[in-house]
Amino acid sequence: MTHGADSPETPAGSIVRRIRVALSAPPTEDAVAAIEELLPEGDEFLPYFRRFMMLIVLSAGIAAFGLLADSAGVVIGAMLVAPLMTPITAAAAATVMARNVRLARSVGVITAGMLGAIAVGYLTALIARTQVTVATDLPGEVVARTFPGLLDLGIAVTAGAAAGYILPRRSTLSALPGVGIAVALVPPLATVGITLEVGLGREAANAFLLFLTNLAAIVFAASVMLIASGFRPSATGRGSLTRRLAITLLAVVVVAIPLTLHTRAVIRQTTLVRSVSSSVVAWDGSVRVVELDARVDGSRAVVELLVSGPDEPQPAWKLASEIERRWHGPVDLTLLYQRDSRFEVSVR
Amino acid sequence: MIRLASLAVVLAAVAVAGCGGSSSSGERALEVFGPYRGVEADRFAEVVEPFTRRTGIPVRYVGSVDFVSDLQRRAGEDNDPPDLAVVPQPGLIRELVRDGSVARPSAAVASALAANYPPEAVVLGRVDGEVYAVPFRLTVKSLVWYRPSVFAAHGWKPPRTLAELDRLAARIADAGEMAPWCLGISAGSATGWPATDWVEDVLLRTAGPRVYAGWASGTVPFDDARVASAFADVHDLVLAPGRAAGGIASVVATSVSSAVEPLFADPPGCAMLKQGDFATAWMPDGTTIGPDGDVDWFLLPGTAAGTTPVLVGGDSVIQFRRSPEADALMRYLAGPEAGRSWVAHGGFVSPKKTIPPDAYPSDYLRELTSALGRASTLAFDASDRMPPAIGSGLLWREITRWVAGVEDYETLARRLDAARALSAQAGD
Repeated sequence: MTHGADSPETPAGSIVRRIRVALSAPPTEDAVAAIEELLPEGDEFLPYFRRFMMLIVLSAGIAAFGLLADSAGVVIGAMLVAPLMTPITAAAAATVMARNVRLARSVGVITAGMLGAIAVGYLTALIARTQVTVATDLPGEVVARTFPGLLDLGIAVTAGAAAGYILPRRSTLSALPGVGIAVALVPPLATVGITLEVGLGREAANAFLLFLTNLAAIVFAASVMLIASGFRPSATGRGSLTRRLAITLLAVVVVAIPLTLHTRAVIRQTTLVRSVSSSVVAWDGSVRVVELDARVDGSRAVVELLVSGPDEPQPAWKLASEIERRWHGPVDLTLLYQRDSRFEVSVR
Repeated sequence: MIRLASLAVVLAAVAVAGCGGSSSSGERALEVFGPYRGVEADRFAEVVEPFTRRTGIPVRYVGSVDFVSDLQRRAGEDNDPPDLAVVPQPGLIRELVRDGSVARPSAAVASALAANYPPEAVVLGRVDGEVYAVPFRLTVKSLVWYRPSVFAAHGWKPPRTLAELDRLAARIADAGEMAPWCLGISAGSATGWPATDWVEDVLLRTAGPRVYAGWASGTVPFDDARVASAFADVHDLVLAPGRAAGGIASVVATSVSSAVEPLFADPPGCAMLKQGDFATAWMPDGTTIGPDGDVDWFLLPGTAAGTTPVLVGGDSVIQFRRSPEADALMRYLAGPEAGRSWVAHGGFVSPKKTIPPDAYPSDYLRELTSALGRASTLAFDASDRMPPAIGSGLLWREITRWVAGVEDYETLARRLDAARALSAQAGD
């Protein structure tokens, strides 16, 4: 057996070569056509845009009513009607293929859809004459969209990658509704409208942050998947691919900063509630928690507990000390026992 | 430095026989138990923070609204005392020393007291001539808070005598715009204490310091006509219909710290609040104090112009466990630094001579410390000096029932005198 002039290929080198070949393989004609159809051009654009806006209005309306009715099922229905995923994936493809006009057009469609969904949420809350004035009175489905965290970013990145994988492959299109449910776009926008209408600006900003998170993550992850599927810039725009990807990645990083802060706050809050619950058990196993209100105020835990039990409870200072030990921070505890005995303790 | 010579005379009566000694714990994390909660708990944590930074000894502060009953239980049946406790009641300190629960502090603490406190204040820390406690805080209780803008708008002026104050309260009540007084006495198992402060302040003025001291020590009974008269005066001045914001039901249900709220409401719910200097911690953030400020104060006047007795309280730190760490914290608390950070925040008067008047952040506090020096009489809170079962227990419960109108004064006096007789028989 003789060897050629080339040196033998190492296993790692073989893997790299295969990946390089797979990545450099151009997409099939069908894949390119499928991506083109995401955002029709020419005469077909206006009819498409009308259909798009109609679906935005309908899905935002369903979402807003579902949010106000606190119905998870209805909100999921709205996600299936929502048409925002196509222009966002089109924007990702235009980014990868360096087609600036198409990118601008898809951004325009996304912006119009975004404003439309917010307006529908606002009007729906106006018509429904919502009496909410404080954040704690909001329906659970609305509240769930005003606390975006890093997990939401993770969901959006993987769902965006799924969209980037599915859309050029018609045989997998049946999986697309799953992406729409996983990464909701219209419900957060409807939440922005609802919370703006009742005057809760901070909650509106948080819901909008959730939308931006999903938008940035989908564009970035779908772009990466489209590159993996062989999509490349045209010859004139080749040099700008890295810069374009860097910009979308930067957008993801920018939204990740407030999300990280949010996540830390949520984790601190969750840890507090868990610490209080386990402290009560350790403190006096015979009592039952009737109401628990625990919130983080700066570095301090403010805990209000209503408990009942068969006998006189253990001293409240023991419970506050237990919470402080488990939560590792200052605690202000107000304990109501059987509604008629009130105890207040501070631990520092 | 605050002049406390008059106080020394009063406090000398506080000191009684006691014994000490307690086991050492050797644990590094120290627990201090006390009555401060919320903002005051933050302030105390700040006071001990430099100690932790320097020594590496962590300090956990636990403040309970049921401080007296909690501490008695911990030191007694639960046998789970904290390392240190901040105690506002000399009567409770005396009882705990008698029970043998309190440890004698190290000799270094006595030296620190001599170096950093005026001799009159050191008395606060002694039981039967022996040092058991480190005086930490002085509270001035005879203050009446009012809003200068509200007084000016109605043509009201701070009164110079108790009779003038009664006429002013009647005038405010008759005007019908607001109640003359804010008052809230709810404080968990300590509910009732602001009412005892009212009675003490009035008795001190109407019956004089000698009767007041006798009532505090037990030689003058509740049944005494002068004591009964002081209770009746408080009722007429503060509790009669139209005198207290929200009526009697609100007085009993409102927490001590929330009582300040109607004073700052718009429109105001009351014109005046008699409460100690520590009430500033419960006022809205940014409240300015002074003739041109959001709120100002005058001393509850005496029966004649120019004679103004002042009722004071004081918090002292005692040590339950001897350990190098606990000894070090007691030494620190008796040292020149402890308390300075709280003084700088306001709402805190230190008995230390090493914290001079210019360390206080406002004219109000400098005036307050100088008012202490000018007072015709300084008297320590009588109920805090009584045995805790009486002064920090039965009296609070009975006076709450009396304020609520479900018990007449004769019943209150009979029950308290009977309890005092029993307590005296038991050798308290």
